[in-house]
Amino acid sequence: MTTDAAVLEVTDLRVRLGGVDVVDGVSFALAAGERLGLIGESGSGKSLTALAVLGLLPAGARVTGSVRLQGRELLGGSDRELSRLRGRDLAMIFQEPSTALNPLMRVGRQISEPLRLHRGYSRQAAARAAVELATAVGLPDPQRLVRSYPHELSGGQRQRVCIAAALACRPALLLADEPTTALDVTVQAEILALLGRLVAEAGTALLFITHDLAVVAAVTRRLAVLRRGRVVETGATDDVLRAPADPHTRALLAAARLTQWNLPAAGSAAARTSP
Amino acid sequence: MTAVREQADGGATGAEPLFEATGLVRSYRLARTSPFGPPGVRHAVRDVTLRLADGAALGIVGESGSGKSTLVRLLLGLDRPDAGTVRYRGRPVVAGRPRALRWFRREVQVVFQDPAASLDPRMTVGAAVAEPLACLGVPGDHDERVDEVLRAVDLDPDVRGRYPHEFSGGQRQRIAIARALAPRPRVLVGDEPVSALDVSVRAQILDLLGQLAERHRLGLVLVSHDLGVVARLCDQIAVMRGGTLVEQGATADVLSRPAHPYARALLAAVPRLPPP
Amino acid sequence: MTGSVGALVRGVWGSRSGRLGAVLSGLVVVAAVVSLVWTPYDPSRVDPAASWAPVGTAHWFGADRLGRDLFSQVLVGARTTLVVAVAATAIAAAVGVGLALLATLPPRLVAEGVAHLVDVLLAFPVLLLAMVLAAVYGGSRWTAIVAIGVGAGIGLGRVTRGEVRRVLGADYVLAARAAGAGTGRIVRRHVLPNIAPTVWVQLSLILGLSVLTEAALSYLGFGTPPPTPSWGRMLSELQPYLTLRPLTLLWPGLAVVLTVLGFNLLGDGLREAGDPRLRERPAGGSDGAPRTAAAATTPASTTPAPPAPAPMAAVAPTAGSAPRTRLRWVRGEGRA
Repeated sequence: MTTDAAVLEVTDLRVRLGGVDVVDGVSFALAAGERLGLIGESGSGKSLTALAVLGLLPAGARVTGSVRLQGRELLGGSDRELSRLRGRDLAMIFQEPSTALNPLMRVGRQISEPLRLHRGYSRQAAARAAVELATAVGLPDPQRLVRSYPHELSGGQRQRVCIAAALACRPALLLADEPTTALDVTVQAEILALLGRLVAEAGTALLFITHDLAVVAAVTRRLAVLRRGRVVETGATDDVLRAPADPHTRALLAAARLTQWNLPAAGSAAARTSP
Repeated sequence: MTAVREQADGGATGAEPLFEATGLVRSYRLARTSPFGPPGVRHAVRDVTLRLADGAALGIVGESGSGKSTLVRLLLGLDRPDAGTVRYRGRPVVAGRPRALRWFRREVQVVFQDPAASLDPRMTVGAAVAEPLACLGVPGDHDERVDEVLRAVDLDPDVRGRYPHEFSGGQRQRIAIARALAPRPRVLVGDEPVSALDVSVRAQILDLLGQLAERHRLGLVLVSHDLGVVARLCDQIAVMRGGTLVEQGATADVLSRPAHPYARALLAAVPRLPPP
Repeated sequence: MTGSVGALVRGVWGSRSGRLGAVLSGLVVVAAVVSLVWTPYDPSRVDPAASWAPVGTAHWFGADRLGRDLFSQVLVGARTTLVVAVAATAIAAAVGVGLALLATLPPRLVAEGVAHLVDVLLAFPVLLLAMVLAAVYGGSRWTAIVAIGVGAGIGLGRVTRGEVRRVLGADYVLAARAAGAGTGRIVRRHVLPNIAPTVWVQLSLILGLSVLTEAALSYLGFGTPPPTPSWGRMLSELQPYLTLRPLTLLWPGLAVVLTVLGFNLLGDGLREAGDPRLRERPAGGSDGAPRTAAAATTPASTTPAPPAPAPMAAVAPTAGSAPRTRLRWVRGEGRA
């Protein structure tokens, strides 16, 4: 599955933290513009996999294996090298947009920060770009909004700001770690649609991390199921969700289906009488 | 299933509902944004009327800011409405001296969202589960009852000497449920009881709640942002937005034929799995 | 509750700082108790022949200008110090926690009044209070105790109020109210145990501070009056000879420093031992841990990293198993 076109190639990644292999030999690859869903429950190692790719693992974590971004080995790279890549070639959006933004910095500056940092934009150019980016992610009244502070925005708007900042430099790879878990369902639907559209436009590869199978079904074509640091199943999203091969995936799917309400034959109240 | 459905209908049309809220209004004063203007007011709950029949299950669905948390506090007599009344078996429930509401708390218990936060980190499991028994002066052997309810939620009674942090999220929520069950309530209120849990654990806790409700003939009031959670356990659904109930009805009706545009949007927004 | 006292003692003794603190504090207590039944000399006996006697077998710590035995004075001084420190700290605890509760529990107007009063009183220096008390009632050990206790208690109240508010806002207090708990029970069972760690640290600081303040007040003449030896009075009496006989000042100075250090370390140990989350237990399921299906996620659920890696830095490479990892983490956060 490794090709020359692979944007990201993770091979036998292991992360050891506090004497435990929290990521235990994970391998996957992402082609340009491809979207991969990384599925798992809390503690499955999915977030640490993303942090390992970014080189942002907590101190004390020991990491082995290989992470290649566009053919360049990232593991073992110096922090200086990595920070030059972060925000330019790979970017990340997090679960909590409220904590991912600096509360004391105007939204516009946070959106255009990567452009100033990596592309050497002047203050004026960055300000113009911020308005453009804010418009692109569908923020209302972008001229005014770029001058506001994060606390003046709703959760969904904040996540839009994070997406704008992450995609500012048109990175080759975007990591999204539960980007809609903290949001309302109606907002989630909007953000997922937005993310899908922008990633397609920019040709960015997307690694979408979530615990929610229904969400991943809406976003990605391919998925990998993680459990206790290992990939237990990979495949096309449709195939895996229709006919999961691994018992853990089956259990996850069954659990997820329990709250999908229009199961045939089983009405709502029937659940109460089921043993 | 049919039995439950009939009861629900009977409660809706019958003379005396078990638990009833009429015309609830609660607003909060906001901090002044200008030194001269009047202080802003946020209407968290405006004119909410609800009924719950004995043994029925009512789900309240709403997104953040819909006022559902405020509604829960009003229903539980933890906060005083600006207008409207909450009645249980016809008796008014008025927030005030804890002693005055003992009769109500024996009958109505609550499970909160995040068991990591709703259990006192410095209290052993046994003490936490026994707390309602002690506070409400429930007669009988409390130790025995604690063992009983811990077993009812599939926990080993030996865990009583341990502290909440030693448990996983799902187990902690079991402890919180055991504690709510301890005084033998007739109604269990769940305020996002599974939102903080993993999907697979979520399913287990929902099943547990369903079984317990069935076995003890508990009425359920389930508040959640997740339609699926509510649909799984409740025969009646109310959709809340901006402090009001925009739609109310039997679960099947609301899910298949939502009338209010917001209810339709909410239903459409829920991500779906492909059919198996 | 006796079991938890046992666990507390074991916990304090289990940590290195707790053990050192217990030993140092114990030394002060032993000195104070011993001074009740035995001292090498009468600490106030003047002996011209022994003036500036050197350190030796006759006078273990030497003697001062009047020939009074310094070792005996340090022993008896420990008694004064201990009484003042413990009594002042007890007053501070009562005043501080009382004010904190008064500034949070009653209806808003009363509570805010108390809170503002605390802020105003905070500006009133302990020394001034001691001087006022000494002027009215005459300088005595009790003026020092009351002045230190009340002064420190007001500061404690200011800090504790925030903690009380935090606990009162916690979900478990709401849950307790929903379970039918009244205010008294919530204070006893939820607020006090949960503010305890902060209060313990503050009290151990106050204990140490009161030793120093007692010394300062005695030095200035507002504390312990002349015949009774106290470390502060010793320092004030020996201070003129600092350049001539520096060694004589070493003893009371060292006593003050070690006592303060001991109390602070002991307070640290108590705080850690009193928190069930920091107490270590044998890991594994053998001791009755339920291993239901839900438990399968237990060890793992502690490891996913929050976006900010900083707090996890404390996890470090040492821990041996997942439950331990969690303990390390919490401990690291507690110190941060």
